[in-house]
Amino acid sequence: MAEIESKKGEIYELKAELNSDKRERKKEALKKVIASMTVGKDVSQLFPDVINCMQIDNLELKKLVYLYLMNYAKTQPEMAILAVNTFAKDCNDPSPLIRALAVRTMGCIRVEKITEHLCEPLRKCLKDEDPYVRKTAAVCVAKLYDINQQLVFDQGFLDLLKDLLSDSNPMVVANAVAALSEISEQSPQIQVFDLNGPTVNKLLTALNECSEWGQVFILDTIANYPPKDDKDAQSICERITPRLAHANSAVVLSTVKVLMKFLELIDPNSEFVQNLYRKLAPPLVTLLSTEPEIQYVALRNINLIVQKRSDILKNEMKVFFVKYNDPIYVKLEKLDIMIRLTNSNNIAQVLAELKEYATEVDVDFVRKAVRAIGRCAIKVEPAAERCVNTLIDLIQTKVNYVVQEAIVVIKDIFRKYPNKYESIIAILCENLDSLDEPEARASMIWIVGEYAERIDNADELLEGFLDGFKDENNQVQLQLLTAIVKLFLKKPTETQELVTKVLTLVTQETDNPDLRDRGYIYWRLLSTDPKAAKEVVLAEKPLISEETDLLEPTLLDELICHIGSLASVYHKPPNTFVEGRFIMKKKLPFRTGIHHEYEDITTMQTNQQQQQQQVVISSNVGSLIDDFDILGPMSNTSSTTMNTFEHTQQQTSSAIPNLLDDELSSILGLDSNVGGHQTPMMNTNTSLPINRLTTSTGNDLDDLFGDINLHTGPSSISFSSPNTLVLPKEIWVSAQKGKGLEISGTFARRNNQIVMEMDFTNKALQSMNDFALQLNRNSFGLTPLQPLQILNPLFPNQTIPIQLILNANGPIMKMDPLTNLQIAIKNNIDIFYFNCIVPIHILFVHNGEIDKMTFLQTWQDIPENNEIKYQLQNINNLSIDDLQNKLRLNNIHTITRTIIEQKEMLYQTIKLTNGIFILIELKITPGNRTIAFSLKTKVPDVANLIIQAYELILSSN
Amino acid sequence: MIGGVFIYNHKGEVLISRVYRDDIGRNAVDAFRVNVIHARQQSRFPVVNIARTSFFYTKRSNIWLCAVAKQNINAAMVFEFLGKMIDIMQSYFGKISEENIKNNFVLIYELLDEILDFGYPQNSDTGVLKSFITQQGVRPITREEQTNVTSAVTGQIGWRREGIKYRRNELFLDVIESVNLLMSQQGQVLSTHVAGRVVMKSYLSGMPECKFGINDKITVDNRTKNPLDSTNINNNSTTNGSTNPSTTTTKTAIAIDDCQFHQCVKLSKFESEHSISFIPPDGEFELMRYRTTKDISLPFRVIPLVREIGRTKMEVKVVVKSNFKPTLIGQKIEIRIPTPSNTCDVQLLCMKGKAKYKSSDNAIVWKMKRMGGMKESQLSAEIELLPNDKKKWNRPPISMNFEVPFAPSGFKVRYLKVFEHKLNYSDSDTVKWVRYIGKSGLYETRS
Repeated sequence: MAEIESKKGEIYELKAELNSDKRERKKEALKKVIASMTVGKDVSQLFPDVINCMQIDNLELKKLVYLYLMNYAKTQPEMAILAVNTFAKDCNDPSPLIRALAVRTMGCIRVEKITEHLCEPLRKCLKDEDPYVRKTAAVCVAKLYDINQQLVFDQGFLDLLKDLLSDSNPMVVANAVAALSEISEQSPQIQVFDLNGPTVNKLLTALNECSEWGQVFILDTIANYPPKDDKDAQSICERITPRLAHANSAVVLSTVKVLMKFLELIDPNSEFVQNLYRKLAPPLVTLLSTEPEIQYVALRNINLIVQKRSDILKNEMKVFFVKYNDPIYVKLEKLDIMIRLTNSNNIAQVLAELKEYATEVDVDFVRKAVRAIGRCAIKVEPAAERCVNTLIDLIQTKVNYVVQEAIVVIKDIFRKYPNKYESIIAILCENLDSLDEPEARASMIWIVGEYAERIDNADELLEGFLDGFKDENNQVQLQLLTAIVKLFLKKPTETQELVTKVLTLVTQETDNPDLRDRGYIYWRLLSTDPKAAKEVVLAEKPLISEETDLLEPTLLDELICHIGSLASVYHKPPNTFVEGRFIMKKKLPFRTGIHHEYEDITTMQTNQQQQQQQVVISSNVGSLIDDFDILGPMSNTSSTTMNTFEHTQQQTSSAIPNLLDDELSSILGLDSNVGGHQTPMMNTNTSLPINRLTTSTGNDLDDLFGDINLHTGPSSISFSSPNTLVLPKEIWVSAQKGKGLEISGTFARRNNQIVMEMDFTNKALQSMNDFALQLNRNSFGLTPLQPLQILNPLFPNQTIPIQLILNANGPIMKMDPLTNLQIAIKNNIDIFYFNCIVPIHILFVHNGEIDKMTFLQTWQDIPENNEIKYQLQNINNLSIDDLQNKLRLNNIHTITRTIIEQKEMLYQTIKLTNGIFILIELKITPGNRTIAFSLKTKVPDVANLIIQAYELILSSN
Repeated sequence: MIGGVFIYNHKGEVLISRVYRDDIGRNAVDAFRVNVIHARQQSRFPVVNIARTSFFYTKRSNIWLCAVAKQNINAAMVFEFLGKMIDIMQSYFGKISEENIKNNFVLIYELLDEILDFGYPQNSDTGVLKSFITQQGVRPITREEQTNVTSAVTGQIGWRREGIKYRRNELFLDVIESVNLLMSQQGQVLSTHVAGRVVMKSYLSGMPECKFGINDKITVDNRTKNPLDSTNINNNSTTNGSTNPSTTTTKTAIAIDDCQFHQCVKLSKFESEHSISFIPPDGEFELMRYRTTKDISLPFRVIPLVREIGRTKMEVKVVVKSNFKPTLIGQKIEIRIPTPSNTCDVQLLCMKGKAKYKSSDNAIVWKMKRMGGMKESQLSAEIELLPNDKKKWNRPPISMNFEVPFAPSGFKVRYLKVFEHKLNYSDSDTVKWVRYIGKSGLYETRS
């Protein structure tokens, strides 16, 4: 109580002071008010008193009042109107500083009544004689557009803004460019900003004269211009190249972006390109002597540039050497680039450096350095031996995490160069006891199993691991099982007891179905045909790739278009971390050699518009924190509590019996523990890992499974047509983010059910299992009909398609945007969270038809202000019948069709899964591609999504 | 664009909060405090994404500066802007500290209103800002002055106002080079480069056009073709005491890997004619930055010898050699020799200067006020260690600080010509001073 009293007292005091006659006291009081506002105290009650201070003719006071106004106007719109007069007066003030201040502030007050009064002053200021006012007014148009788009169109501000592109003052041009770019980014469907040759020319002229920030705005805009041909691209490149010597790193990076983009159009063998390469390297290197934060941005971008055009920096290895005092984020990034630049010429230097880094303090950095040594060995064959020796030296340091990391990479080196370095196995074995991380233990066990014949006490070693078998991580258990079987096949006489022990253990005492099934298969194999077992288990292993951690090429190309921006820092496309707004996907231009490029690009852009689906991955880059919450435990098919279900489930589910039917079923027939009889395939199965012919490249067992799969008939859900529009699959989780697991997917409506269709691809070197999926609560209550079932492990390089049927009866939570869906996928490696957008047309149900009368009644019942109007474009110029058919396929039902005043009127309805009805009227003028669209619904939130759905469906093929 | 700018103290209390965009709410202020300032684990990246909002931050002493955005904005620009904002604040009220920020918060808000509009950075040149945003309230400025201000803010020469007058036209050029070195234990140079800056202090009247010439390889090569340029190497410049040794000994040109200029330099002219011409801001500014990697004369060499005798004793011997002309003198020499964290006692012996063991820094600090060229000095230390420390000591590099009166890259100012056509003073009436300073950047030798 006392506190509230004192607060009141404080406010009261301020009130008194604000109304004081003395200017100084007023000013002090205002300062106090602003200070309270800063720390988040609510001082909105003082609104009338603060407004009163506005009258005083003192610029400093005025600025404080305006600051207050911008903060609180929204909460007190009625009071804010009192300020309008002062603004109007200030906009006519003789001082340009005051005119600009008024227009700048007015644009920041998001109150409708004030906005109305903004138009006239703004129009005047856009033509003001003083450039300072004009440059402020230019930005103000963007502000207004953010508040009320229609007003900007109606009042013709866009044209005024475009006029400013030809302004004599470069600063005005720069701000006009910035405003226009922002507007066209917000509304890509309207051609706001026609970037053509002459405009670009004007911008290039202004570029030489405007401020550093203005140069950034202009360069970022020029990056969006599609050059007519290679000559056009080349001449722009020539004109902007001098910017590479600018002291501001943002100017440099934006220049690099334009160059990297336009280089695509120019013959790579031309002298021009070679010259440009030479000019690009030095400024990039110079960025490394800036502030660490800027260095970080630069390094993240260099990482992209090196992946795209490695030649540019091929001779600059040394500058990426890590300095002792670099912040950790700079160190890790430099290391990454170093590995990408490593080749046989510089390997000696690199290796010496890496060895040095491996003795540093930061654990993550040291681990990465050790891993890097392994990668060098795999990448540069002549240096492999030196790398191995370095790793051995490091193992001898006995630093726990160094040893473990080294063993993991040595396993890969053994894979790459079989039968070359076994001599070091003895040294590795010495460190067996210190391994406590599953990956290291599994790697060590793999090595022992693989080279069992050369390790005298292999059986002892493996037996040692077997003692604590139950406490081991799943990955280790699987590896141990395989290793012991390998050992048995190599030394059958001495190890019979051991192999029996492990097989008994995994088949009878374990709860993990993967492990148990693998156990059974080995058991059968060994007991029926040891020769075949040998061929399978000890088969030759496929090679592993040299480069890892490369970005997927299409993603890389997209990121190149975003050099300097946040996307390039996160290495993620913008729609993964930017909310709401429709974002156009950027693509590098094509070089076709003929002069059709421009057309290609424009058609490409319309294609992009069609790919409207916004797949969104939650942005937990590194340590970046996300507010994602998954409620409740993950549903997991292999969780221990579900064990009792497991058997029955396996008997009914199609995967296991089908998998093993043909010749192998005879083996299984011996043991009734696993469902040995073939059961008919059930269509109720929600998640079907359809085992298409998979080219598995993992270790032994994959081959086994792969082979078996070949004998299985393809199993898939067959759907009756008609089908709704299905967008192409997009990457939801990149392999980099998913620690090797790449998930791409889309949504479809099949058989009147919502189906989430995904491809899981394993791009890691080890197999994955224990998959589970969970959806967070969402706006439409989407929830899986049955848990995700992936019974086989997913082997390296294998892709499995998943179809998961979704119900719409789950718990509901309003998302922003409404169609956002947060997904968590778990496997044995980690849990991955990501977002995606469910295209709303997937949620249109088939029985959404209502009769004419009800339609009319409902249309009238919904208040006028719920009506939303829009201009649709009939891009493909569909006939009305085609249009109707196309919409009907997507459950948009035409109730009736009439002709009024020579215009075709279509009345349509949509019903969403949650029962919301949307009523639509289409007015089509024959011969005109523009369709007048108007929509009524009780839930106006969905209106924009419906418009998007129409645009998408109409533009689809 | 930038949605908002926040400044916090070390406790995470918000000192300044200015929001520019509607998509940034009050909760953003708290999100950063909770997830970064108060986070249990120190954040490892300078950009953090929390709930789809990106936070760009940097720290000065114990003050956090943070810019927020919800869009895919130009990250390099945001950091450049934060840096600029720090520069502006420093030039207005000195050190960035909690007290200074609290005392000047009205000024900071005023500045933030001017240099960012709707999140777009605007003219942020300190000189120009100071002409119309002042700490002592707003000066009652005349209309004429106001138009001057607006034309300065938006003008093609946004960094200089018209009508500047000096009785004596004078300019100072400081060539300041940081030498960076990483040397292996065996004395092999792993990497070395010079990061140079040309800082100019100009006190010139009117709108002077300046032309600056250096002994860059490309320019010098051009010069032989272009007789106009070789007329006179400005001998008018008085060097104050310390001359560049290369002026007397060698006249060779140096290879500059890369250079960058202040925004006043006409970049297109540099690209086409390789000439550096500009109208300078008034007062001090950084005209040029450059980087060289070839033919660097390393002023000092450190030769370490570390011997571990058993588990409780270490012997360290460090020799420093100066490698420049005997007539020149190096100053402010400091050598830091890291010691293990379990050091318990250090016995020191040095021939010159003072050496001390600083347990708080885990290092032996050896200081010499000055050292002549072509000299050598030595320090030996016996370090006793506590035996029970299991952790391996990772031997951080020995670092060195110094200052020498020449440019280790061989960089040389050939001329700086001043032309002012309207006012009546000529190039020869201008007094010019040039000074060369070589400093240590990261100058490390692995031990």
